[in-house]
Amino acid sequence: MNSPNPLSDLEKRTRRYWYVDGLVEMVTGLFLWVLAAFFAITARLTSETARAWVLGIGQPALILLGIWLSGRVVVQLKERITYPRTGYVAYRRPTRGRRITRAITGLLAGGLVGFSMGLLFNLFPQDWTPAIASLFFSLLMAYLGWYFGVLRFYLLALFLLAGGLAVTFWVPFELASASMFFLFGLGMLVSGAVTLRSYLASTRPVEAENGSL
Amino acid sequence: MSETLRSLAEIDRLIHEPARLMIMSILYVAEEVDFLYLLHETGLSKGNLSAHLSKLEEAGYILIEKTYRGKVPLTLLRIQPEGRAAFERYRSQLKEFMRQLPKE
Repeated sequence: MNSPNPLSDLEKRTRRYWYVDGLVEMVTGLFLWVLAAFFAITARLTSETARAWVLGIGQPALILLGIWLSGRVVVQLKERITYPRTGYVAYRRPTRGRRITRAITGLLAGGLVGFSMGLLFNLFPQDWTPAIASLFFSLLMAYLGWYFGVLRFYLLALFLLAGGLAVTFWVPFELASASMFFLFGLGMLVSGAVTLRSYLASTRPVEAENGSL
Repeated sequence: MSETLRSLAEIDRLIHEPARLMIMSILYVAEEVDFLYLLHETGLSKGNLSAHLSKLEEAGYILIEKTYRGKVPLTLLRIQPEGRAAFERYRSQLKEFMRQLPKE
């Protein structure tokens, strides 16, 4: 082994297995399209008050519901598609100390992102909101690419950035959110579909008796 | 140097075997995996993998649970606390041995 820390590589490889089939990206892509539809519908509301209420309550509710449902859908799909082909992995839950560290890091990171975004929104015109938002999504995707060792996430990061810039310059502001999430969803769907196709072509379901002791 | 070499004799031979080292390394980083995943990751044959898993189970390093997912038989594997401790001891011993080797 040439790596200075082969156990760390193995840990990364085990984590990466969750993304081996592209299913997470496809489900996430569909969820982003639902969000895009939500923003498109909201943009058509003529009443500012109604729009504020719908966004204020509907958006977080939709996001929470979407995350919960997506998780369940992904697991169901993996049980039918992935586990019979290349096996099942359950991931170690972080220790209490690690959970606390992560929560603190998350809060600090969230605060830093919020502060940076606020700063950028003040420096740039409102029309640049999609570009700024896509920059942060892109950085997040690049980080996930590094953390999980999934190279295609870097390509997705570039696509998200390009998508945000395209929306900034070519889409009317009132449709910016809907367009942005539509493009992001499209990128995830295509990435996931290509990965799934490759995965299905290179694996086949193992007969029950061959997949156990 | 002779003491460094002698320390190798104390290494856990159960884990030191390459196939079992692969198995323990995978189980060390996951909560639980199934037989099929290990088959794919290690590249071992079914019989070979089964034999190594049996040895690790006899030593109390891993737990093998046979269950079902619906109607499909499933073999789940998980490292035990004793196995985790043994693996960490093995890592430390090997690391110390490598550290004491003279540089070229």
